[in-house]
Amino acid sequence: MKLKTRVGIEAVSYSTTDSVVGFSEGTSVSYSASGSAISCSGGLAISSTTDGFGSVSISGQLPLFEGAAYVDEDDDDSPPRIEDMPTEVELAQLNREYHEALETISATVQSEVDIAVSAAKETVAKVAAALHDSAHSPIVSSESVQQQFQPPLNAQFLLDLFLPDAMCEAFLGDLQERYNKKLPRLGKTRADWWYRKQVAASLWPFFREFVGRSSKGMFARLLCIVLRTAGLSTWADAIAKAADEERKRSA
Amino acid sequence: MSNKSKQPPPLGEFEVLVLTAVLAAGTNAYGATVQEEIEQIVSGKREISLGAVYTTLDRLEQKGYVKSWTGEPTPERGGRAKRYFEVQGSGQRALRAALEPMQKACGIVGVL
Repeated sequence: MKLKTRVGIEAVSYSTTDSVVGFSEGTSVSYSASGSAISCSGGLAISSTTDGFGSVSISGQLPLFEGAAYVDEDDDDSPPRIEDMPTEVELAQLNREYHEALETISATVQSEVDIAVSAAKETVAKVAAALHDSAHSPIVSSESVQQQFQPPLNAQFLLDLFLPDAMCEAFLGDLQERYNKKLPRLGKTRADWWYRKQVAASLWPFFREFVGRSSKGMFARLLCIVLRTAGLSTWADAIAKAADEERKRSA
Repeated sequence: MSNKSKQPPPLGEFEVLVLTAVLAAGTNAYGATVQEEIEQIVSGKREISLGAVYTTLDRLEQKGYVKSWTGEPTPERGGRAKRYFEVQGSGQRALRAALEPMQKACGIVGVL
C-alpha cells in the first residue's frame, strides 16, 4: 500500500505509578518518525526508599520497537500530485491500518515495559532487603545492642507466674546475659527465638517442681476444707495438725 | 540399715552433669556458666534448658550437695543479681560414687 501523504507520528509518552509501598516508578515511551522509519524507545526509572536506611534508584533506556511506518516513493518535499492522492476509500483503509499498527506497537511496548518494570522491581527489592539487613546486622557494638534490644517481655511474664522471686531474678538475669551474648552472633530475630525456646523448655521443669513442692500441703488443705464443709471438723483438725507436723519435720 | 542411711542419695544422670559443670566452672559457677559447661560436655547432642539446670541445682542444694549465695547485679544482666553455686564435700563424694561404676565400665570397654 502506497501512502502519498506524509504521516507524522507525534511523540507519545506514558507514565505509570505503582502503589507498592516504598516504590515509586516512572516509565515513558516515545515514538518518533523520521524519514521512512519509525522508532520507539522507552525510559524507565524506579526508586525505592527502605525504612530510612537508604534509597535505590534504577533507570535506563530500552530499545522497544523500530520499523517502517510508511513509504513515500518520492521521498521529497514536493506536494503530491492529485492523481497520486489516495481515494477516500483508500484513505479510510490506510487510516484503519495505521491505527491498528499503532495499537499493536503500543501493546508490544507496554508488554516490554511491564517485563522491564517487573525485573527492575525485583532488583530493587533485593537491594532494599540487603540494605535493610545490613542496617539490622550486628555490626554495632554489643553495648549499644544491649541498649537497643530487650528480650521478649511476654516470655518473662510467663516465668514470673511459677518462679519464686529469688530464683526468678537470678534465672532471668542468666537468660538475659546469654541472650546478650548470642545477639551479636545470631541477630535479634534468632536471639528472640532462642530466648522463647529457653523459656518454653524451662516452664515444664519449673511447673513440675512447683506442683511437687506444694502438692502435699495443698492436698491437706483441700481435704480440710472438704471435711469442714461436710461438718467433720474433728477430722479436719487432726489432718491439719498432721500436715503441720510433717511440714515442720521436712523443714 | 544404718550403713545404708549414711550413703549419699544416688545421683541421676542430669544431676551428675550439673555437679560436674559446677565443678568445671569453679569460682564462677552460676546458672549461665553452668549451662554453657553442660552444653560443652554434651557437645550439642542434647538441648539443655536453663530451667532444668536451675531446678536440678535447687534439688542438689536441698540434698546438701551444693550451696548457693547471691552475687552482685551487673548491667549486662539487666541489673539482676547472680546466684553462685559451689559443690560441697558431700556433693563431691556423691559425684565420685556415681562416676565410679562408669569409670569401671569404661575400663572394661577399653579392654574389650
